[in-house]
Amino acid sequence: MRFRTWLRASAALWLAPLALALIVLYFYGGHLADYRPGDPRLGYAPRTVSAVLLSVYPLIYATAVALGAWESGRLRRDGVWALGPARSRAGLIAQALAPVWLLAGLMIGLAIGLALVHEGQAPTVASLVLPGMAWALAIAHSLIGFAAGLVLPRIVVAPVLALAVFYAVAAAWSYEPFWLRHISGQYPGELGFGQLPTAASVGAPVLFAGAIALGLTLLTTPVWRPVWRVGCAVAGCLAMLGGTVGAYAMVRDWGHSPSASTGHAQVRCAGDELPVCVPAATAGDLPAVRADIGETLRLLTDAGVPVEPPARVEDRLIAEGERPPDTWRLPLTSLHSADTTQLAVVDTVVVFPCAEPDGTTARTVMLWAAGVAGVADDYLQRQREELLVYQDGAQILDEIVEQAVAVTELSPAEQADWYRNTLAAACAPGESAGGA
Amino acid sequence: MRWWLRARRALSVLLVALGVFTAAVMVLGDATVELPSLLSGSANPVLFVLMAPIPVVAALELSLGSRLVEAEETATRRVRALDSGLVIGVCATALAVGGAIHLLTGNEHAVASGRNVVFLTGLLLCVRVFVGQPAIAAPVLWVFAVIFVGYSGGGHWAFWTVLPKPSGDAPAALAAMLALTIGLLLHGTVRRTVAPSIT
Repeated sequence: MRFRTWLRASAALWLAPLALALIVLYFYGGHLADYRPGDPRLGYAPRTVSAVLLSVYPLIYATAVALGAWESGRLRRDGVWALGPARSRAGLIAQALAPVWLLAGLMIGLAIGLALVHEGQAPTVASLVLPGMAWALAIAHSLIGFAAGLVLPRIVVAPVLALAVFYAVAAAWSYEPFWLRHISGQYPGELGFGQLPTAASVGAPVLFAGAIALGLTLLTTPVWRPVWRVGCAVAGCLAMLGGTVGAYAMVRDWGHSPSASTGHAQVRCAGDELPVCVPAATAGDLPAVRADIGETLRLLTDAGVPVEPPARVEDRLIAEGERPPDTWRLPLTSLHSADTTQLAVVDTVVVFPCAEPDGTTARTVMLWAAGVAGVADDYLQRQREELLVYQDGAQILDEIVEQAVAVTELSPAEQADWYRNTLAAACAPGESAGGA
Repeated sequence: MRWWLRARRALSVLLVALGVFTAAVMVLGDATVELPSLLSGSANPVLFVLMAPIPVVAALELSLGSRLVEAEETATRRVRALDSGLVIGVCATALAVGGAIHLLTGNEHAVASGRNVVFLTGLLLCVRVFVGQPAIAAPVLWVFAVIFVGYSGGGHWAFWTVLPKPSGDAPAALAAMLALTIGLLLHGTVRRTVAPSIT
């Protein structure tokens, strides 16, 4: 068939403008309003791609299944299956469905292309895993539609399947049990920096939809020999059952989030005595971050605060696995851009011996420690926002400022003693504010 | 008349579709699902039952499209009038089913689902005289339009959506009546010369 004829014969061509327009509208209308891009220097393409695809999976699958059913009905109407077998059945199906696959690919490509261009990022191989899964599932859905269109009239099957698939895939996210969402084909979450989907989280939906597609295709393939016909039917049912059970077994223990593997971002560390690690993309911050951390620890130690220096400080973005006890994990990149690294170090060093210390006392201690590190203003700013919700917030604020100022007038040794005593006093039962 | 009924596959197609509609309205009830929207960005609550009329409308298109062209074009019986009767009958049955379910289960959206059948059928009839079989895309696209751009937040649906409006909504009922009337008028007057196909 000539290329133009082949394309013009397919309903995919007529639906393409609408489907692609919906993707563009969705990107500008829905996605940009919701998406929080984070630090632009990080530029992690898998995250961008996973976020933009989140809401377009159902649309892509619905398009594929409806067009698959419509095309199969067209072949049936035109009596193609009654002709002499000059061409293989698989070839015919592929030729009829290729425009559908092309359209699904275009929809996926357009969505991720818009997102990546908007963020100014280049796609990486790892970032194409989810689009690849979406495309594989679109092909599976088109085959499901094709098989249904062979048996039932396309006028009924195409619209019903389109809506059913759209609703089912989009709704799986808001319903329990959780395994529904993990095999629905909608990767139910946005990847974080340095995260990639695991093979199982991509494989389970592909296995599920692929097995249904394979099973239905086997069931609708005409075979002459009776023995083979029975064999085909049995194999088709087994494939559908096996795929569903297999996919379920893969994901049944998962919670609401799909499994993702971490630590795929490039890491840059600096320092021998106190190694500090951040994503390579923000390694420019490293000297300043290290200086902030080292300086704050030194100031606190000099003031008599017992400091256990960490063996390693790493950005939470690159965290991988369980945290070793002597490693600090701080959101260094966002802390540095907000210029609050020192305050975060104070937060980490000053640890009360109980879970709920007395509010005013604890705030006084924190304000004093922040003053030692030279960031008292940052701390007060944060407290002002926190205390807004209390009726007597302004009063508490005045009180802690007054107490902390009184402490700073003592001698350094007395201040260190005060710190140790007050840390314990904040946790003593029945003891209210005070100590200074 | 019996042959006309046979040709329209009234029993095998329409009754099954109405059965599916009944089951769908009963089972789906007033369950909603959060779907992506183009206007509000975040998810919007869409009733599951919005999709219930689609099987009926699709079956009606299949039924009306199953014609014995030569015999019907030269018939002395008034086939178009019979077709109109069939359409009205299906719509009335859908409304009756909705009413019955409302009385039985107190489901608030059952009658509205019947009204939606009327509306989408009218829409289908309006479009099919111009484009033929692919007209079935019109009701489906309407449902998608409602999902994507019909919701403007705060439980408020735009006036043109019709489908998610409650049973007692007068403009929606009027829109359904109007759509069906125009559809039937077009169905009775416009003649398509393209050879229809039997699928």
